[in-house]
Parts: sequence; C-alpha cells; structure tokens
Amino acid sequence: MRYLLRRLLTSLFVILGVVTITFVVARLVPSDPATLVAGPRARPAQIEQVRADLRLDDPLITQYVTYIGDLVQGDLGVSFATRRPISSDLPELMPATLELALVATVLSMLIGIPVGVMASAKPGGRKDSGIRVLAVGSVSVPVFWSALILQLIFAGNLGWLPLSGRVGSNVSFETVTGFFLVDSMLSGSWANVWDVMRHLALPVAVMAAYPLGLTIRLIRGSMLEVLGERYIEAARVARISERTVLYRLALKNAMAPALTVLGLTFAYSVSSAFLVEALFNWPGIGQYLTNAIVRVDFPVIIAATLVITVVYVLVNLLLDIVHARLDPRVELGS
Amino acid sequence: MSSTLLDIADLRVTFNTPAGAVRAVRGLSLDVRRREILGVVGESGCGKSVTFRALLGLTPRSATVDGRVTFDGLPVAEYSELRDQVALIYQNPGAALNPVFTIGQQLSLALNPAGKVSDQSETKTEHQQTMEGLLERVGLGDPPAALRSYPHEFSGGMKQRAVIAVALASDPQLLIADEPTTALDVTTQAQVLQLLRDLRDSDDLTIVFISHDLAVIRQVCDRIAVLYAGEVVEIGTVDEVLTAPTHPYTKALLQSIPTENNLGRELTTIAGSVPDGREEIVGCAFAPRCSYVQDVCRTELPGHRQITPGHTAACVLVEGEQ
Amino acid sequence: MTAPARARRWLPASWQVTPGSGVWYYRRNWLGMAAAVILAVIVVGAIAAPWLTPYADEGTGVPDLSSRLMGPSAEHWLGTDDLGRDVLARLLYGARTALLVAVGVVSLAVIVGLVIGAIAGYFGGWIDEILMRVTDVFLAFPPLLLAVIVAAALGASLRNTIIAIAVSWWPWYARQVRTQVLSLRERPFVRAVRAIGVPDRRIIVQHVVPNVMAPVWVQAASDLGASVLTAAGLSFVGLGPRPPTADWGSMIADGRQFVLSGQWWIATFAGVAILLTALAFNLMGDVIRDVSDPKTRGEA
Repeated sequence: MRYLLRRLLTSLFVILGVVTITFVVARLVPSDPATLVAGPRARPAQIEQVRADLRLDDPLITQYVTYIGDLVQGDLGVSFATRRPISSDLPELMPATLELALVATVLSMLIGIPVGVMASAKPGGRKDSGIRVLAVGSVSVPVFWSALILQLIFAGNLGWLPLSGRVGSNVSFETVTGFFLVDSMLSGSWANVWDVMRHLALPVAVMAAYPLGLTIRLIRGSMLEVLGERYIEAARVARISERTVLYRLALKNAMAPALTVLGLTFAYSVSSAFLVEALFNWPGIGQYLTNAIVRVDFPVIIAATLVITVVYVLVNLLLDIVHARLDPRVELGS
Repeated sequence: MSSTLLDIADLRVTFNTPAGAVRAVRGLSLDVRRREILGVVGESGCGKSVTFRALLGLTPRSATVDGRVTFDGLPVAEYSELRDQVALIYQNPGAALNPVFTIGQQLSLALNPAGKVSDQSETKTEHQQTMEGLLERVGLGDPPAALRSYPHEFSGGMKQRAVIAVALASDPQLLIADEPTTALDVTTQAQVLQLLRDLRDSDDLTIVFISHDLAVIRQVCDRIAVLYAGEVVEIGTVDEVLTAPTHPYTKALLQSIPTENNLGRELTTIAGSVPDGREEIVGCAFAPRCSYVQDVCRTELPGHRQITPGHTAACVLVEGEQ
Repeated sequence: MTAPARARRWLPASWQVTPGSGVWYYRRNWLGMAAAVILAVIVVGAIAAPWLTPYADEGTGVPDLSSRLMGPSAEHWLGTDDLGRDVLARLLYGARTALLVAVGVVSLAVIVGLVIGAIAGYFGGWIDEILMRVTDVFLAFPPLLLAVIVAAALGASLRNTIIAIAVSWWPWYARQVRTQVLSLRERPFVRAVRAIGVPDRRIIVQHVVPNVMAPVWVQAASDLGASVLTAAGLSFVGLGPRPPTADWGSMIADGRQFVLSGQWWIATFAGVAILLTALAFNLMGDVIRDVSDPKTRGEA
C-alpha cells in the first residue's frame, strides 16, 4: 500500500514537472503570441488588447501560477485556429486515438511474444536469424513510408481495403462509447463491424510494425537471459519437456521486461499516432496535434502534449504496479 | 547386476572458444559403484564439474565430448539420456530454484515432467501426499506450508533440501552433488551431509560428491578420486588415499592443508600453476611442478598403476601392474 | 601511457582488435558485415555527393523547372521531383543531412547524459535526488512528443532538429550512466584511489567513466538508427531542416501528394533511403550488443 502511495506521489510530481516544461517550451516561441492570436490583420491597439487579455506582460511567475490554476480547473486554453476551448474539442477525439493504440498494442503483443519465444528456442539457428531480420526490419521502417506502400498496394492497386477514415461514408451507427469496434457491435449489424475492421486494418498494421519488432527483440533477449539461468538447466535435467520449460518456466521470468515493452509499445503508439492519423485521415488527437503544428496553434500543441503525457505517465504507473504484483520478490508494501 | 553403476572411460571434453580450444577433460577414466559415495576432489579448473555436466549433456553446443560411458551395464549413446537416471544438485541452491514459482509447483513439475496429470493413476491428493512425503524425507518441516512458499522465503539450508527433494522426485539411481555444502554454514553443512548419508543408506542412492574441501570429503565419502588438469591422478578408498597418498600431487595437496599429520608444521604450497587448458600437454600434466619428476614423465603419459587392489595412481613411481 | 592507448581505454574491451576479440567476432557475422557495408556506402555517398552526381547544384536545391516530375530514366536514374531536381542527387545530399543529424543528436545526448549521470551517481545525496527528478520528468514524455514541441517552439531548422531530439534522449543515457556509476563507486579500486587522495574530477574522468561506457556504446549505435527515423518524422510534419536543404523526410512529405497520381518515385525512394539507413544502424547496433554479451549470442 505504501508503495502505491509513494508511486502516486512521484507521478504527481512528475506531472507537475511536465507541466512546467511545457510551459517553458511554450514561452520559448520566438514570435509574439499576441500577434498570432489577434491574427494577421489586427491593428496595434487590438494586439495590445489581446496582450492584456492573455496577461503576457505579467511576471513569469504569475503567468505560471495562472496557467496551473487554469489547468486544475480543466481549462486547457483556447485554440488559435478554431477559437473553441480545447477541453471541449479533446474528449471527442480521444477514443479514436485510444482505439487505434490499443488494437495495435494488443496485436503486437499477441504476435510478438510467441514469436520472440520461438526465436529464443534455438538461438543462432535459421528460424532465429530469419525472425531477427524481420524484427529489425519492422523496427526500422519509417511509418509514413509503410503507410504509403500499404495504401498503394491494398487500397490503390488491389482495392481490398479503404484508403483512409474510420468508417465508410455510407455507414453509420450510434456512437455510444466512441470506440467504434464496440459501437458497431452494439448496433447489431455485422456489416458495420466488418466496415470498422476494414478501416482499422491498415492504420493498425502501420502502427503495430515497430512495437511488434520491439516486442520480438525484447522478449527474445529476455528469454535468452533467463534460459541461461541455473534453474532452467535444473528443469531440463529433471526431464521437464522443452515446451514447458520455454512457455511456462522461462517465460514467466522473462515477462518482466515484457511489461516494460508494453509501456514502450504504448508510448510508441501514442507518439506515432500523430503521424499515422495524419496519413490515414484518422480523426484523433494525433491529427488534431499535427494540424496544430502546421498552423502553429500553440495552445493546442501545448494542451495536447500535456494530455497525452499525463495519460502516458498514468499508464506507466499502472504497469509498474502490475509488474510488482507479478514478481513475488518485490514487496508491494514495505 | 555388477557393482559398477557408472563407468567412464577416456572422457575428453574440449571447449571451442573464439580464443582457441580449451581441453578441460583429457582422457579421464573412473568408475562409480552402486550405493557408494564417491568423492571427486581437485582444485578449481581441474575439470571435476565439467566431467559430470558433460555426462548430462549440459555442455555448450560448441563443445566436443568424446569417450566411452556405460551406465547400469548399457553403453550411453546420447548423454542427455542419462537425465532419466541421474540427478544433479548445485553449490548455490538458490540459483537452482525458479524464483517466480512455489516449491510445490516446481516439485509437481519434477514429479510429472510430461505435464499431464490426467494419465497418471494418482489423484490430486495422492500427488499432494507424494510431494509432502518427499519434503519430509529431506527434512523440511511443515510440508504443506513449504509447498506453498517461494524460494526466496527459505534459508540456504532449506533451499538445498528443497533442491534435493526436486532431484529425488525423478527417482534417480545416481545423484551428482556439485559442491552442495560449500555455500552453507558449518551447522547446516553437517545436516545436509547427514541427509545425503541417510539417502544412500535407506534409499539405495549412489552419490558422486564433488568438492575442493578434503575435510568434508573425508566425513562423508567412501572412495575418493583425485583430479588434476582433467585427469584422475589417484583413486582409492578414503583411508587409503588420505593416509597413504601415493601420487605426488595428492601428497602435496595433503601437505598444504592442516590435517592431524602436519599439526604444528608449516603448510607448504605447490610451486607453479595449473596448466593452461589451451595447451597440448605431453607426458604427465603434473611434471612441471612435481618434486619427484623424472625424464620419462615429460614424454610419456603414465597409466594408472595399482598400489593395492582398488587403490591406483597415475605415476611412474608406483611399482606394480597397470 | 600513450595518448591513443589512453583513448582506447574508453572503448569496450571487446572492441580491441585482437584475434578472438569482439571485432574479430563481428567480422564473422554476415549480417553485421552487410550492415557495415551499407553504412559505408551511405557515408561515402554523403561525403562524395558533389562528385558522384552531375546534378550537384540540384542536390543543394537549385530547381530545374524544365524537367519536372520525370520518371526514372537514363538521364535521371531515380527520376526528378516537382521542382525538376534529380532525385538521386537530392538523396545523396539528404544523406549528409541525415548523418549530420544522427551523429549530432547522439553525440549531444550522450555527452549531456554522461555528464549529468556521472555527477548524480558519483556525488549522490541531494545532487543525485534533484538531477534524477529532473531526468524523470524528461523521461515522462512520450518519445516523439517532447522533440515535437521543442522543435515547434524553436522553429524548423537543422540545428533545432538536433537540439530537439537530443533534449528528449539524454535522460536515458543519464539514467544508465548513473546506475553504472553508483555500482562502481563502491568498488574497491575506486575507494582505493579516493583513499590515496586523487581529486574527484580526475577519478570520474579517468577511472569511473571508461568503465561505464560499455552499455552506452551499444545504445548509441542503435540510437543512430532511431534518430534517422525520428528526424524524418519531424521533417515530415514540417519541423525539420528548411528547404532548400535536402532532407529525406521532407522529400516524403512533398512527394506524397504525387504518389496516387502516379509519380511514386520521389516518396518511395526517399523512404527506401530512410529504411536502409535505419536498418543498417540497427543491425550494427544489434551485432555490437551480441559481441558485448555472450548470452544474446545464445552461447551462455
């Protein structure tokens, strides 16, 4: 219990640090925020007014405190571009990104872990070398390139899968959770579910490539470490079948890094989301952020970064706790 | 049924490393008799562990193992076959136990390696009783609680007992104990040694006890084999070898440790150092350090010569038949 | 000790070129050799760019509007882009950018991480606490995101790209170094040197740091590959080096719009370049890791 509290406190501190850094970065902008907000055709008086509204002339500390105060109240600022409060824009977009990230993560784990174990069974062998090359390849492929190629082949030439978007233009169902896989199933029509899955296919494939390669490499490495341990040797001498040794005895020990992988995978999904969403016209936070970058819409850039980071920190906290529970040697309460 | 359980003839184990070939075992021959506790003694690097690990197929894939090995009268083709009959316990018992599984889970797997409970005639309670019986046999109190515990909850002595229980689960004929008491304190050491003696007496278990500690060997073994640079240089009963050491290496070894024979006298060291495993050795391996060395020692490998029936040494100084 | 010998102490032991050593083992691994060859080609291509192509000025950005969007042909092996510039030339000059960014990022991240990690680990106490909290905060950001906002704040340029990515990567090195330094600090040889009275700064530089560098080198090799990908990602959204500097990521961004209308060569070849470079760096990093640790070779 005390471990939990300690970690929560650390996370809170970290979040505060993140907020501070984001604040600092925002102030690094060479151009004048007031001009940006007021727009290109504003007159000097209007710019002055904006400056006063945004309290840009206040000492930095005051601005910082106000900023934090706003955040705590849930005010994430107003977008330069849309002129709407960001806190109303964001919640609509989160499920789209989360769905993508979750499906990609789950898929990469489901495939990656068994493949990684397979590779570790006979290191240096042909299967292992082949798997390693594929894994390295997966990790090295730039996302926008694989998206391009896949779109070209599957959407362009073969026409099997749609080019972009979350659902076809003629498909509609009620948005209950925002997670279209769930919503489409709730709508009761298999055609809807199929359509959602077809739209998910390419973005997920693109997004899962890196985590898949990463998982394979990490699991393989961790398994090899574990397989070199005395207790594995002892198990083999005790005539325990190689299958059991690999998939039960060794894997449970090797899983700890797998949790780190999960964290890394999720992190990667979150970061690559903004590229992938741009490429597939996926209406999530990533696209929101990318558009904001292009338009130099600073409040959005800062707010989106903040939200994503906080989610990331919380997920890592969760993973730490799960890891502690998995390894009986780590005491949860000191 | 002959009295020899395990017969090793001319065993050679070579490790092929990027730095060259390392000959760890160079033509080693010895026999292990049923129901005996054979001590295998030597300094670090003499090949005492490697020999028996090779027999169980535990050498790296890059190593080569040659020799003729017979177990229970039958020649051994594939060394990993011996795992059915032979069990192994280690110096560091903690390392031999899987940290994320309970003792019960590990014992259960060792009892039932195929992993299927369904085709066993035992029911679950019988299985549980077998496990508890094993734990009692090795002297672990409160077996039900012990079965539910994780290895890190045990002390060193308890861990070693648990390891022995797991080793016994496969009902082996031979137990290789690789320095099992080196890491334990003296009291626990005595308990484990007593346990091994009991297992030999009541369960007909044959034990090979590997150690570098002559004092421990003397307490528990029937016969001793002295190893140097990958070969057996002297073998005989404990009394014969320790009171009438014949090979110069054995003599020098005994002079370098405190025994009742050299009380009050200065301990000697053996000049020189153990030969480098990467070199070819011509003649007797101990020749460079031997105080009784003769010219023939440097060119010819001395075979084992009999001193008394059952006590042999590989030295030209021994008059007698080979 | 001679200067080269002193410098060599910083390299992992397995890198010394003696028979049976790590480098010897590396040469036996064909994947690693293939990766090394690819990298050599890329480096040579980058350095010798002006002499390897007749379109050197187009490589640096001079447009040739008369030959826009031409497919691969005998005159233009990889075709031309939307400003008529030879794609191969752009790729060669892009290699310069990519390698500059990779080396710049990794150097900066390693140096900053090394300094902070060594100080934190060696001096301990409240210095360590503060430095580590700061590191934690930086580590809390999802990988690409911090680089994105820093690059967005500083403005798009080559220099800022390097700074932005390095800012998000130094924490990992700082952590690694600190862990290593912490365990080394209590080792007998360090305590012996302190007992003699050698000043702290010398201890850190001469004794502690060379011993912690091993995992750093391994990660640095892999990071070279990752930085190529990250930099490309930044350029793709417009946060990389500004035109007319040749840059692979920008080429994909620019060329993307033409793909579906049939002019696939710009984006595709740029993507291949990124892929090959990242792949080669990653493979090299893998083999280096194998060489340093027998367990991942499968030979424990």
